[in-house]
Amino acid sequence: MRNCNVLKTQQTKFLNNLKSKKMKKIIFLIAIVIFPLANYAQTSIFDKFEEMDDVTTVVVTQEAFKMLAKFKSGGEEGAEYFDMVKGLNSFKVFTTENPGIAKQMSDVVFSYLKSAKLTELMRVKDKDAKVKIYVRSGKDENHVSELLMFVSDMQNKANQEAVILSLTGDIDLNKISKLTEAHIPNSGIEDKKQ
Amino acid sequence: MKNYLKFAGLIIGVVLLTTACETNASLQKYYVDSKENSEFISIDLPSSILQLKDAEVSEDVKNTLETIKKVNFLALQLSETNKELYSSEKEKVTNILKNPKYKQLMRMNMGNGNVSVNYLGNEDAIDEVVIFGSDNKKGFAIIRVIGENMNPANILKLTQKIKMDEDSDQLKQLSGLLSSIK
Repeated sequence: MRNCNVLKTQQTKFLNNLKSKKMKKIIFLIAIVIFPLANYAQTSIFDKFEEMDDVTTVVVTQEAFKMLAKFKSGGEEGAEYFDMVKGLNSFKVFTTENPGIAKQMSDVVFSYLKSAKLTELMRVKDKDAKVKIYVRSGKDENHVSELLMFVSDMQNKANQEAVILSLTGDIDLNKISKLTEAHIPNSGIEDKKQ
Repeated sequence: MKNYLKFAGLIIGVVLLTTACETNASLQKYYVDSKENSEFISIDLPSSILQLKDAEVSEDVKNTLETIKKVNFLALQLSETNKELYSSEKEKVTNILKNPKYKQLMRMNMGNGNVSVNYLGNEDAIDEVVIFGSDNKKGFAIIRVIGENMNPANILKLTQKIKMDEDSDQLKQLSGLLSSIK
């Protein structure tokens, strides 16, 4: 019983201390120190696909882009690449040939489109596949902060494929269109954008 | 006031404990420990296997070459008997690489195989590059390129000016090993 009382007084003392300004300050400091650690890994809604066996993923992190930006060489086109690469945060591609996962992917993409403010940039459909490209607007009309491409293969029921490509960071649409134009002439992004 | 001190002491203790655990689990320690385990295959390649094609090169190139110290190769080949060891060791390496000091450049996941590329240091001065690849049917391998302040841009330039020392015993060992796995 005595022990219990001691505990109680300790508890009230502790609570009183907690109320004191100093204590608040300390807790605040600890929170500041711990928060960035907990938040270190950039997570996205698509990350769960990475754990699945039938999904092929490629993830390139911001560190890689920072490093690539240091390789300043290789002519004018090289310089264009490096300018573009500098602002990127992450590049992720998820591919699957499993029809069940392909369905999940399309569900996740559509729920994501609803929750995040993404606008459609372009849509291509032919007999084999549907390609949709969405962007999240950035600092001005030529910059986007996120580019999401979703490819689904709806026609071929036996071999259903889906591809999610997500690119985040400061992306200059002008540069992307220039680069794609250089590699795939008449890719059409140039006209769509205007 | 006493309680407050106790509380602060507890927090400091916890922080010290967690950070201490983190530094212990370094890849270097793991590498040294695993080398002694006969299940593992390990090969150390000294930087002397990289030779300049041309002796007449600039000081810059020579200095860059000197920033590369050695390459460590450690592999665990999967067999009928070591499946448990494979999964526990793979888990260990994965956990070591989760430490934020290993900055991840990229990772690939191909169903039953994984590849990740990480590095220590900063983007101008890399101290170690770690390539970790695993395949659930074959085993896993860790390749560590160890150096001191390696500059990626300079090393890229260097690659055009060097050749492998084909007479090196270690290199023969490695290529023999790789062909036996395939």
